[in-house]
Order: sequence, then C-alpha cells, then structure tokens
Amino acid sequence: MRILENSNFQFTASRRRGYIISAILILASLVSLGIHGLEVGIDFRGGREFVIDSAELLDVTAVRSTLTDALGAEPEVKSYGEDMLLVRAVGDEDVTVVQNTIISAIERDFPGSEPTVEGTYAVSPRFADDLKRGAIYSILGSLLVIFVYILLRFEWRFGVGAVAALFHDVTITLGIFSIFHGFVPFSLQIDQTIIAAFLTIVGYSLNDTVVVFDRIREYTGIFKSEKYEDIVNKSINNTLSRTLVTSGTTLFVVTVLFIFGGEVLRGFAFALIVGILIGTYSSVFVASPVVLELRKRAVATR
Amino acid sequence: MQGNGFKIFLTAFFLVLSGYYLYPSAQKYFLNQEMEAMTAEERQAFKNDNVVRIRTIDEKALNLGLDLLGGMHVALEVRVDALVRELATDVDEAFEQVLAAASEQSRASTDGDFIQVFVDEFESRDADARLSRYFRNEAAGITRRSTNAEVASYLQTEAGEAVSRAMSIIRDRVDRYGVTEPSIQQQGSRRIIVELPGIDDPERIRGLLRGTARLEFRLMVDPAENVRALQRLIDFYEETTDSTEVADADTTFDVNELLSSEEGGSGNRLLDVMQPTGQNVEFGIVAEEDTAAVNQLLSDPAVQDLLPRGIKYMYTSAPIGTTTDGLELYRLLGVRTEIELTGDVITDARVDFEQFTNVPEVSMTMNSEGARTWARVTGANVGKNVAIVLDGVVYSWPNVLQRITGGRSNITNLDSQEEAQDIVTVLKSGALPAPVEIVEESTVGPSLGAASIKAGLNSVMFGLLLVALFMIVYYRSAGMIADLALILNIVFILGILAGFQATLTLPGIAGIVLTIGMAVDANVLIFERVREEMSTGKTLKASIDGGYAKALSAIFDANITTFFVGVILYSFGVGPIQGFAVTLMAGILSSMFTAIVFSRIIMDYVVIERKLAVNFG
Repeated sequence: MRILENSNFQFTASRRRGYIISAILILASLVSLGIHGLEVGIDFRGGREFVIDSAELLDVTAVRSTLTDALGAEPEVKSYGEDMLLVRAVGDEDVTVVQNTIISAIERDFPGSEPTVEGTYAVSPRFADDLKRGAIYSILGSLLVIFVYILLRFEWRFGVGAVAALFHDVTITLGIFSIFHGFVPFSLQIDQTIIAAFLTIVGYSLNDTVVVFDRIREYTGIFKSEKYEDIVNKSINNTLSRTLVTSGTTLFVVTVLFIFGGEVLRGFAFALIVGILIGTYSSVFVASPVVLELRKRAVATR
Repeated sequence: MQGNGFKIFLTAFFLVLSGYYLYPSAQKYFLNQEMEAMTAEERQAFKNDNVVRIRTIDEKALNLGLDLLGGMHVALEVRVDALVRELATDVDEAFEQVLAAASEQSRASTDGDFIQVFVDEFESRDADARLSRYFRNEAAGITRRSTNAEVASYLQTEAGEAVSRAMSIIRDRVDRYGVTEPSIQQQGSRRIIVELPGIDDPERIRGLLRGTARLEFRLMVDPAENVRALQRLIDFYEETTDSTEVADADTTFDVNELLSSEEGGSGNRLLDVMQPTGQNVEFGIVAEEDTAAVNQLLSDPAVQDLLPRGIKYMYTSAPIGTTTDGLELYRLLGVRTEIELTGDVITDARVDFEQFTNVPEVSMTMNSEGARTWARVTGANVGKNVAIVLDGVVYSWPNVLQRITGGRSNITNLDSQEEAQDIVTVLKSGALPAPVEIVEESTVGPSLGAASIKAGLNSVMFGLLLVALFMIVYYRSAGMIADLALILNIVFILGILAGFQATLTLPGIAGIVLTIGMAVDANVLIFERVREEMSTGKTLKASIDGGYAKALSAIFDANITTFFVGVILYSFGVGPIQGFAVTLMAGILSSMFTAIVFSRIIMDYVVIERKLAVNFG
C-alpha cells in the first residue's frame, strides 16, 4: 500500500495560506490564554486533592455544595474516572483533618454512599514553587539544547526554522488547552505530566522537521541548478509519505492511550494528540517555509 | 551475510543481557501466580519457607512505582530555621526579627541555603554585629571571639548532621512500624523522600514521620499566680476592647455562647474564645476552633508581661468533652518554660494497659541519671503537679504524691492502642534534631493502582497490535520484519529498566506506548528510502543497501534531539516524570538499534542467504 507517492503539492507556493492559518491559530491561542487562562494543577500552585470512591454514584454539584459548607470555602469537585470524584481544596490545615472533614460531610449528607478516599495528593506552596522552577528550567533547557544541536548539524536558518516551529506548536497546544479547559469531560490542567507531554511534542515536532531539513540539505547538494524554493518543495513532497506514516502510527498509539490509559494519562494523551497534529502541520507549513524566507532575504540583500 | 557477524553477536548479547535482567521479574510473576492459587495458610507457610528466595527475587525484579503498586510517597523538609533558633543559646528581639526575615526570604527562593540567607540578613542589618553573641557554645567551640564565618560553618555542619540524623531516625521509625521495602532517600540538602508501598493508614504515617518526639517533664504554674494572671488578663482585654474589636470578635460569637453562658458576648476578646477556670494549674477551656485565636491573644507582648514569669501555656492532648455542636474542648495549662528532664533519659518504652480500666498507656523506663533527677524533682515537689509534655502537648499532669525512685513514668490519656504504639515507636527511635514538615505527599489506594496497571497493559497491547497491523498492511513482508524489531524493542526497553534498577511508573508505561508508535519511525524512514531506490530501477539488494545508508543521518538527527529532551526531563523532573524520561530514552536507544541493526540482519538473511524477495509494499 502506498499513500501520496510521487506527490507534487505546491507547498512552498501556497505557503502564504499556511502563514494565515498559523497566524489565526496563534492569535486565537494568545487571546484565550489572556482571557480564559489555563487550569494549573496543584503541582504548580500547592493544594490538596482527594480521589473519593463511593458505593453509589454521587452528584458532583450536590457534593460541591455539601463540601462548601463543611470546608468553609468552595472546593473544586469533578467526576474522576467512571464512578469516582476528585475533590481539590485549598487551605493549610492538616491533610488528615481536611480528609476527615470531607468524608464525614459526605457521609452525613449522602447516607449509604460509604465514601472512601482512594488516593490523595498534597503539595505545599513552597514545594510547588520548586516544581514550577524545575518545569521552567526543563523547558528552557530543552529549547536551548535543541537550538544548539540544530545549529551544529545544520546552518543557522534551519535552527531558526525549527525553533519557530516549536514555539508555534507549543503555543497552539497551550491555546487549545486554554480554550477547552472546563468544557471537555476530562482534566486539561497544566501539571508535571503535561510538561513532559509538551517536551515530548517538542522532540516529536523536531523529529519531523529534521527529516525534511535533512532532505533539503541533501537535495541542495544534488540539484544545484534548481531554485531553492523548488528544492524545498521537492524535499517536503518526497518525505511526505514518511511524515504521514510516522505521524499516523504515533497518533494511533496516543489515541489508544487517550482511550485506555485511564484518568491519569488522559490530559497527557490529549496534549500529545494535539501536539502531533500541529507538529506534523508545522514541519511542512512553518519550519521549512521559514528557512526558505530567510534564504530568500539573504539572496535579495546580496 | 559477511560482515554481519558482529551485528548478530551484538544482538544476541543484548538479548541475553535483557533476559538475564528480566528473569527475576518473570520468576516473580510465576511465584505470585503460584501463591495466588494457595489458601491463606498455605501462602503464609510458603512465604516462611522461602523468605530468602522471595526477597532475592523481589530485589532483582523490575520495580513498580507507587502509582501502580499503591502506597504512600512523602517528601519531608527539615526546618532549618527552627534548628537555628534552637541552636541559639541567647535570643533577643533583633535575633527573632532576622530569623523571621530570613525564613520569609528563603521561602521565596526555594531550597536556597537558609543559613547563608540568615547570615547575610544578619550582616545587612548591622555589619559589625557578631553572631557569636547568640550562639556561644563551649562544647562546639563557639566563643565570644568566634567570627561570623566560623559561626556560619558551625551552623552548616549542625544542619547537615540534623538532616542525616533525621533520616536515620525516620528510617528507624518506618522499620519499627513495619513496612515492606520502604525507600528513604535524601533529596537536595534539606529534603527526605520516603516511599512506602502498600500503606493503608496514611494518617498514622503522617504523625509518625512528622512527630519530633520531644518528650519533656516540666513543673507547672503556681495555682495562686495562675489565678492572679488570669484576672489580670481578663481585665486587660476588658479595657482594651473597644467597639472595632467587638466587631472583630463577632465571628466567634456562636462558639462563645456555647462555651460560657455568663460572659457570652461580653465583648471581652479573651472571654469570647476561652472559658476561664483558673483552677489549680488550669487557665481555661478552649474549643478546638479557637485555639489559634487564644494563642494570638496570649502572644501579644503586652500580655506576655502580665503572665507569670517563666510560664507558658499549653493545651492538653485529649479533649475533656464536646459541645453540643460537636466542637472538642481542650484545657489550657500553665507549665514552666524550664525543662526538668527530656526524652533522652528514656531507655525503654512499651504499651501497657491501665490496671483497672484497661485503657492503653505508655510506660517508660529511665536511665540511672534520669532516675536520679526524677527522684530529686519529685521529692522537692510533693503535692504539686508535673506535666508530661510530648511535642508541645500536655499528655498528663499528675499530682506528685511522693518522691519517685526507680525512674519510671507513664504517658496516659491516649486515644487508642495505635496511638500508644506510635508513641512507643517515636520514643524508641529518638527525637528528631529539628522539626520536619511534609512538603509533598501522595497516596494511591490499591484499587487505583490496579486500575492503572490494567490501563497501562491495555494501552501497550492495543498500541502494539494497531501499529504492527498497520506496518504489515502498509509495507507487507518488510513490515513483518519491522514488527519483529518492534517486539525485540519492547524486550530491550524492559531489560534496560530492570538492568538500571529503574522504576516503572504509569507515565513510564505511557513512554513505552509512545515509543511503540515512534519506534517504527526509523524503519519507516528506511523503507521509504528503499522504495525510492527501487523506483529508480535498482536491484532489491542495492536498494536495501542504499535505503539503510541514506536514511541513517535522518534517523540519527531526529532521534538524538528527542533523546536530549529525555535527558533534560530526567534531570529536572521528579518521580513519575523521571519514569517517563527513562523509558523515553531507553526506547530511543533500543529502537535505533533494532531498526538499524536487527532489522538489517533479518533483511540480509532473507535476501542474501535464503534468496527470497522482501516485499516493501
């Protein structure tokens, strides 16, 4: 079976259309990030989470109002998995105390529900600051290492193109997290696993980009007489089949993770699904065109 | 096939190595299966007979993370600020201010060196001030003449020792509690990570880890002085209570009504939150909710002057009762700040039961020096009360009937036998050199863990199946070779994890699933190249040669960047994220190997040795 063999799409000629789509997506992402913001997990802001299982299905809204009375402040209550609840409370009392308050309040208001705490997670604000710092360092560190590597292996224009594509991908994925959090039936909070997912997206998007760059580098040596624009176009077309096949297989597995991976990995898998789609798009419509534009400018000024 | 000898050797070598490292994991699996089939008694007997064997297998088998096994993870931080305060032999207002400011600063810049911050802060306030003034300590060699740098290095040493002592004490407590395969590790300079698989009572563990276990025997306030101080305090808050403060006190109005009927809503800020009693050593009775408010009122510097000299007020451990609203009420007792005896003199502690009521209590035995002091203290204070204080809470305050010789004492008024047992544990392990704080903790119940394992296994299986099928459909017989490489790849990843004693977490499994998707990438790159070569009319063998050779640089460049990301994630991430990073890195290495080396061996074998055609679809 073959798909898109000997394709000859005019990617470089129609790159303006790509710029417009990317610009719209990035703008929408930035606007949403500014207005709607992101849902930040307790890893990065401190707090406590309790996963509560019960004999009968509890109503989220009713539990929220029960717990608002008991805890004195409104906690976040969400459904977790098929039949459990996730309660997230702020405050600095002892975890044991908060846990007992929650359980006894649910027992009182929902007789026969037999609530039990299946899991807890508590992070002090100070520790959260540390985790946040670690996350920021890993993001900056990754970007730097990648940029330096591309610089060493390719010429600087490729480095700029790759990094532009990375920012493009991460901004839009973040934007999608911002736009949809609260509207989808699973958690889209930014926590440590999501940071890991983002960095994987960075690695993945780069993977795609590098394959195209590698081909451009190779063809530049072979087809010396051709226009650079055509070389880029030919490189994208000749790697297109591979790009789609690997994106496809990776998309398969992350979709499997999304469906079967359980509640803990759902946000992570979602980030990867979005990231892979955007990353594949960007290696064709952002990274290579940026290299082309930079090259053209260099030729024009010469 | 010439020239492939080394490649075959390498593949076989890695395969044997993976097998060697994975063998204990397989043994563990079959052992568990075997034990599952037994009855409870048989299982116990089997375990007893095979203690060593089971332990060896457990040690060498692939570690599962707490998110899969279920259990408790706790990150503790040793409070260096509290330690510094304790090391100070002389404390004044200025010192307290510097300490508070340094705490605040180091809170902002985390895991920063608290002692450095403290010294800098101290010197920035008064460049000529000497730290030695506060930390003079003959035994440690800190004299009036010691420089600030010397004091700082003394503090650093003490802090470092405090952390390592805290670690060994916590290890001892965990061992006494009885956890199978606990892990206790230091992280950074001030943190201790405790991992406890299969814990079903996190509340007890929290208390056990955090309890400083400072046992103190103190004399108590003189009853007459106590009553006078109480009256002075009531008067003080009567006078200073103006209209704005009444509004302030309104929040506790309801509680107050339940507490004392007479003074209810009197507008006196102290009486609003405390029922005064002034009987013997008792100052008053306070509801659980109001303890913070009462502490606040008592800590007012103006109020401190009104209290009896050398006396501080502490709450009792067990409530004396509850209000109709279910609020627990505690006594507030006056104890001397001077400590007569500490827990250091305790040589043995055990759970006992009160002779008549059968209520659990802790009985303690002191060493000879402690026994002498105890005899002297009790002898000099017959008819008075002594307080037995553990971690700042008064457990009992018996009236001394006669001089006590023999160095025995009890801690009574305990909630349960578990509490008694935990106190014995902490007393035997010794007191923590400085308070510790739980900065992060997570508990995963066994059913959540089991659900995660199932989710992980399902994802791996379906992911593998889907990708393998696709490869066969898309690349035909070449796809089958890629699938073989894929399966070998998973064996290698698990082998690497077991070999490096890495822990498999749920994000780690996610990393394996992701690797399954990305691992075929290298083969896809190669196969696409082979197809291109074949389309130019080359022979199968030449196309395969060309495909492998030309795809190499792309495979290398594309994988190495993702590998870097893995390295960075591993260095900055914690716990589960590190698990993900490890499988990601292992996956990249093994997928490059299987795609470039292993699939080539098979390809050459089929094409050259067997003279068969490989169909690239």
